[in-house]
Amino acid sequence: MKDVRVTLAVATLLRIFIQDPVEWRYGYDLMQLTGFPSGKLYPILARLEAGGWLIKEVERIDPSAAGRPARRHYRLTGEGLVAARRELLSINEQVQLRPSAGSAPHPAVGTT
Amino acid sequence: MSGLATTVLAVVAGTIGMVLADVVTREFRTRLDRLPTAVIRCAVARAPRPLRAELRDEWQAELAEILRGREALPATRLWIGMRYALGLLRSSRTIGRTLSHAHADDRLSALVSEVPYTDAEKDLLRRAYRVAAQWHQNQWRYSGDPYVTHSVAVARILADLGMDATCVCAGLLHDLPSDTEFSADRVLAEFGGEVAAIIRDVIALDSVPEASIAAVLEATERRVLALKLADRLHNMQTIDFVSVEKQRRKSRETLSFFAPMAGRLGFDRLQDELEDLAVSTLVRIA
Repeated sequence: MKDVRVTLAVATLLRIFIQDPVEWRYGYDLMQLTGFPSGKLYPILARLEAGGWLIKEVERIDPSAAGRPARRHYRLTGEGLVAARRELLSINEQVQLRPSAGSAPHPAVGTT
Repeated sequence: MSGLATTVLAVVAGTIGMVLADVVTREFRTRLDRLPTAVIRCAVARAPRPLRAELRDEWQAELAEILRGREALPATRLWIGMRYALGLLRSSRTIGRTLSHAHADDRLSALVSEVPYTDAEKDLLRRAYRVAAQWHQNQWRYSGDPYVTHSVAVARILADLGMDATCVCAGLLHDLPSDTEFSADRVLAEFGGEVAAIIRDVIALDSVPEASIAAVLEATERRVLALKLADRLHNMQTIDFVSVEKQRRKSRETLSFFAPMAGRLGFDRLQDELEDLAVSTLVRIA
């Protein structure tokens, strides 16, 4: 498990994974949930996967029966879940400690 | 009467027109759908070779899902598909490098945990890896992999040959003095005389005139020769990525020189593997 710099975009993504940690998520679904284009989403997924925060698996379907190729999906590892909770909490605290920073907290970070 | 004929004619013509339009649309759509697929192929080609099959499978399956169930106009499908594919084209190099670095990290961790090194030796190897990864940072193998993947592969081969931690450490660092600003003096200062000597002698082997090579090898330490052979083995394992001319030259050199050398040193499996790689390369490019 390696450190990954948790930018706002990374936090946005982690928040989705944390909402239901056992749920597997597909790349395109994550694009729709975050509003990120592929060029923004996939590099973050790669960083989190490389850091051991996320695990990627091939979905268990029979491509010939399903009539489509098997997709890849992602979810948090055990360590990734702990780290993601810690990071999001720390971001929330920072946002709350500085309410007069000018702009409202980013809606994507929110409370979990 | 003529009114009815006109109506029938109009209906027939309209139906034919609609069918034609549908056929054209379908044809058009199938063709247009190939465009994002082609862009994804380009995106995949920008990633390091060993990762390509996996990335291609993931992205093409996702694209199929994006286009599936969208019975919208061809232009809409094209727009959605292209947006997805072009984003990947822009970022696939970064994605590939990120994942490739992680694989190198994993392989180093595996090496350190599988071989029964002392704690001091483990620390030495981890430190050597960090230095190699840092100084080779913006250097790439012909395969597109980060350069440090070569350092780790060579170290692994040396460990599998039963070489000690000093030699494996030299394997991790062996290209630093010649390819980076991390000089031989710094290797000496930070990793000690033994490691520095192995690397110095390996580099020196390159400039020995052919006439005196036999005598030089006779007088060269086993660990130095092992490092030279490990370096050659990994270069042969990844030889597909260099020019055909270079493949031929390296393969011949491997057969006439390095494989016999491995045999003389008692590295039988290494000798076999070098011969197999060289022969299969020569057959393939013949």
